[in-house]
Amino acid sequence: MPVKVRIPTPLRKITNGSDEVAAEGRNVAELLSDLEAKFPGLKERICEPDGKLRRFVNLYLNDEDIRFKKNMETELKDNDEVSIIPAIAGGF
Amino acid sequence: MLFNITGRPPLYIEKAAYDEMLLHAKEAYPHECCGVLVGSGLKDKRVFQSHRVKNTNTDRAKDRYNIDPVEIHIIDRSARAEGLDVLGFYHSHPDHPDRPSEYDREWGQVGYSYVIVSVMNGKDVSVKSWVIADEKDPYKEEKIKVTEP
Repeated sequence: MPVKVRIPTPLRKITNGSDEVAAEGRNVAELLSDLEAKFPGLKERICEPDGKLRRFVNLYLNDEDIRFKKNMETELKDNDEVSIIPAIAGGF
Repeated sequence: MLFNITGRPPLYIEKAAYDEMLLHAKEAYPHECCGVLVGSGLKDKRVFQSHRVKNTNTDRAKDRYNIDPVEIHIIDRSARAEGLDVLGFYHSHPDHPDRPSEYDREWGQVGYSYVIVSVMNGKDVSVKSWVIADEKDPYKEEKIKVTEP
C-alpha cells in the first residue's frame, strides 16, 4: 500500500536529501515503522519513545491532521499523501 | 559560499521579503506577528518569499505566537509547486530584543531558520536570525544578508 510522505527540510538529512519518499503501511503506525526501516533515525524525530506523536510535530493525511482522525491507527490507502508539518510557537 | 565568523553560512533574504516581514511586525505592534519563510537551498539558504500567517495565540498575542499547522501545510504545498521549500519562520518581539527567549528555545526545532524582528515603540526595528544545530544546543545566530532579486 504505497503512500507518499512529504519530508520537511530539517529531516532531509535522514532521507538522503529526498523531499518526498514512498513507504507502506495499513495505518500511520505501520507507515512510521516502514519509514524507520528505510531511513533509520526518522521515527525518533516524529515520535516519542512510547510511540506517540511528538508535540513539535503534526502529521497530515492528505489535508487532515491525524489527531482529528484515529491518530496512529488512522487507516491509509493507495496514493494517500502524508505530510510531516512542524508545530511552530514561541514568544518571550 | 560566504561564511560568517562563526563558520555558519548566512541566511540570504530578498529585499522585498525582508521589507514585508518588517512591515508586518510594525503593523502588528503591540502584538506579536508571525510568518513563514519560503525559498531554496538547504545549506545555502535563500528566502524569496515571506508569508504572513495569523497568530493564533489570541490570549497572549503581546508576548506569544502560535502558527496554525494548516497554514504551514498550505504554504508548503504551494511552495512545492514552485520548486521551493519552507526554510523557516519569523515572529516579532514587541518592545523586546531580537534574541530568542527561553520559550522560543523550548519550541525551537533543528534545521529551521527563526527570524526575530524586534519592534521598539512601534517603529524602531532590528532583526536577527537564529538556528539550532542539534536538539540539545542553544540557538546560535546566523547572519542575515539582504539581497536584490
